[in-house]
Amino acid sequence: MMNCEQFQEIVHDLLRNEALDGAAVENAFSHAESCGACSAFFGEAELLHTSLRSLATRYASEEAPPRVQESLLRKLAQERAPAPVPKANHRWPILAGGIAAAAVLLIVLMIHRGATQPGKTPQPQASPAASAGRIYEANASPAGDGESPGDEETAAGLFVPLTESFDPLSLDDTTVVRVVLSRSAMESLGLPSNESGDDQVVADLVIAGDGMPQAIRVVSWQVPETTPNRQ
Amino acid sequence: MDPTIGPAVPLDDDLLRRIRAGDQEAFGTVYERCQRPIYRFALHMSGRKPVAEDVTQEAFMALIGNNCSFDSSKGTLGAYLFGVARKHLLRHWEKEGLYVSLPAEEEFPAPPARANGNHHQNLIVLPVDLERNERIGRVREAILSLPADYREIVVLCDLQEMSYEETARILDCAVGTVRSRLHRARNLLMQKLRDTNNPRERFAAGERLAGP
Repeated sequence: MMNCEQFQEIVHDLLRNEALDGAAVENAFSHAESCGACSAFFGEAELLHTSLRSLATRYASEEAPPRVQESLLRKLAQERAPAPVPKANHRWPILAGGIAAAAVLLIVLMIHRGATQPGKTPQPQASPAASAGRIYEANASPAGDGESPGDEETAAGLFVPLTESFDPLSLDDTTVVRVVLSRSAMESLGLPSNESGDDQVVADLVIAGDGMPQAIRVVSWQVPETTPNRQ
Repeated sequence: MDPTIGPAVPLDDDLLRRIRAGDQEAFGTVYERCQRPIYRFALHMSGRKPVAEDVTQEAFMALIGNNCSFDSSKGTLGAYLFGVARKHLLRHWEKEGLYVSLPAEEEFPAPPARANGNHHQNLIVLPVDLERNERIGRVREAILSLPADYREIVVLCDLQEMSYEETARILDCAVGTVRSRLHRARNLLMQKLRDTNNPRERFAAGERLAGP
């Protein structure tokens, strides 16, 4: 026979229909029928149970407002969107690749021209044709003679074109000037620089009638001591 | 039985993998399945809709971020979301206090409209409805005044109508603990309701209303 303590221990399970064996259920009801206090307790627990069910039913249709899902979907889309890459990151590899390709092309071109014209490899020339400033003015004609910068017989095959329109066989209306260039200036033209030499080099530039440089050749990787205004 | 609290199935892993890949449909599936129990749990626990809304949002945010620690070997996505919601509720209580009284307009959702389509019918409030509303209101207040451990047991077992096993999985405790805690919680509720005015009359009215 069940006592009051045992009854009150299972009363909520009884109301919730939790797994109780048939004998336990029967004992519980038998006790409640014979005990006024436990019968009242059962009524009280039953009322609470009913109230809880009513409360659950009343809230059954409650749900988060649509803005919660909308906000979450927006965040999901943002979270998975690829991060924007700065433009510079796109451009830099292309630019670096272009510079490297130009440098390689230039070296190959220089080697090729040297190889196809034996005995006409560039010879460093210590130019005595110094003038004021840093420009060695040639005799204006690539067909000049002597040791002028326009020693065209030698120079024609050694000039490296700086523009696509440069034609070494047609040097009319051009001027060859001898200049001292810094290595950084050489590099800015896409030309290789000699690491073992000075910071400056002596070079001949073919200047077109419009003043634009058309081609260049290195005369000397070292600036002669006699060069004026040597820096 | 709440469908979110069943045994762990591979489907949860698949859904989560798709959500991590940005699949909005997969997210919608989980949201549709779990948002109501999570929202109602937070609403019953806090007593405030804005808090329930925040907690629901934070719980589902756990699926979106890279810090999701869901492990299907330990339970379902639904149970995981309940766990996250509980943590956020705890943080909320630490910030604002354990008991938040209900603002009057949020105390109860509006009763469902009557089926006959006559809007004026909604204005007629029968004494029986008043009694029932009052009684349910007192139960609601009593639940909110329970210690958090007891409150969440009542909310899960009684208001969400989960079994002891389902509740134990969410709270990560033994079934026996759930059972004994629910019994103590219900006895505490009975004590609180008994302490109100005219308990005999209220219970008598309750017995009439609780008929078949």
